[in-house]
Amino acid sequence: MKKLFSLLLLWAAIFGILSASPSFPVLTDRVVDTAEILTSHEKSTLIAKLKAHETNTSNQIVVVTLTDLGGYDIADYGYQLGRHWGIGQKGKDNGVLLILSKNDRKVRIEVGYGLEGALTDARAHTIIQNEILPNFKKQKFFQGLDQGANAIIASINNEYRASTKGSQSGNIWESILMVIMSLSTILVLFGTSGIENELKKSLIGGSSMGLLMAIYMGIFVEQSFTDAWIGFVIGFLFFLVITYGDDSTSGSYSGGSSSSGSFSGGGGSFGGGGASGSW
Amino acid sequence: MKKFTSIVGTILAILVAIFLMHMNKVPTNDENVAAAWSQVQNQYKRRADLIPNLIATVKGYAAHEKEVFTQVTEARTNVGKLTITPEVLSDPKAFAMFEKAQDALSSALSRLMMVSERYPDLKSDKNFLALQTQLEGTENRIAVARKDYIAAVKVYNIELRTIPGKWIAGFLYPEATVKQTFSATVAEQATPEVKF
Repeated sequence: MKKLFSLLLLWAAIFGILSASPSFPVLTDRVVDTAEILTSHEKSTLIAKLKAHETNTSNQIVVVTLTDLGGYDIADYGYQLGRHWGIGQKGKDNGVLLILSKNDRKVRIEVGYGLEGALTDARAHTIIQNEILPNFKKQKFFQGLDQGANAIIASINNEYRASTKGSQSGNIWESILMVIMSLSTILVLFGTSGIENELKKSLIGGSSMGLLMAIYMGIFVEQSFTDAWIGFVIGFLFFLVITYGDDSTSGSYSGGSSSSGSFSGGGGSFGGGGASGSW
Repeated sequence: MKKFTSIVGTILAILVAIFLMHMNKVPTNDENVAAAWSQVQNQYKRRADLIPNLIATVKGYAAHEKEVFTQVTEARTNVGKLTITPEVLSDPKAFAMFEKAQDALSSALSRLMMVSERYPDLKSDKNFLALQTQLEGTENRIAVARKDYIAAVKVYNIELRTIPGKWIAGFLYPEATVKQTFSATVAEQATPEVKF
């Protein structure tokens, strides 16, 4: 089990190195206060407001505070963060990021593709100049962010309506994939059940499982070689875990992914729209 | 003998899997490059469309800075002369010309913005402020679109130049050629320094 875990860590490290972009904070909720300038009450006020807006319109607004930008230009950082988190709904691209960088004394409204018409660069600029910066200059960060969020909401309130639940057509493929995957898992499990040697069984089962996953990922999901590789590794590990992992430790790390916030980005994209300012 | 056939079968299966994985990559990546390219063109077009208004506004306050105006207008005309269709992306000469023309317009525009810094009345003009913001936003979008294009071309070119993809492309898509990409770093094509 330990070996498996270190293997996982190794893979995580390799992928971490390969994807060298600015280091982004974790998306925990609609307010990500990395710079720790908001009280918990202020945070929950903002979160409630942004959540209500998303329920009505499906627009996702996220407020981020950073200690610094790590040398990146705030516009460069902003759109990459928005894409990384996938703020906004997929297809609508209706996400907005309100970013504050404390040490750089910079603020930016980053607007997703789908809202560039309602929240134009000029409008974003006006919001920053009139609502946000006057407050920031007086060190009133919450007031600035709050009034900024209000103005953003006012600009984009009529742009989208929250769609009724049936609109997740993209998931048909995923569910088909899930069915194929589980079927083939059963097949592979069944096929290898005759093999006595535990290690042999895992290796053979894992490789075939991995190959299957690689083909699925490669053909259906992203059509890319790296994804096929990831699929291979996932399939392999998955099989190792289900054949080797009847001991209790196997469950201990699989639950680590579900953190406190029930919030995640909807898969929206950004193209550099918005405006910046500094105080 | 049985062992031999199973080994051959496995190798064949792997080869088929590799073939299937790469079969559609060239056209898929080609479409991605074309989409990224049209985004680049859109944003450059958007910038070019801003210029007449911008010049008119600046002229209202700084009519005698004729040199800058002609530089910008000339650069814009040069840009307007070139339109690159996705097919020409494989032509290094045409691509270099496009890049050169856009870079010339970028530097002419940054000179125009530098000149406007000298006129306090202009700097507080509402119309000018709006145009300035739009220009800044457009330059941002150009930077993003260029980066996306570079990334899309990279994926496409890697597929055409590395081993399984190279063979499969040579077999299925012999007409596909490596595409041109922006040579300058993003920093080199610096955004006009627009200060508020």
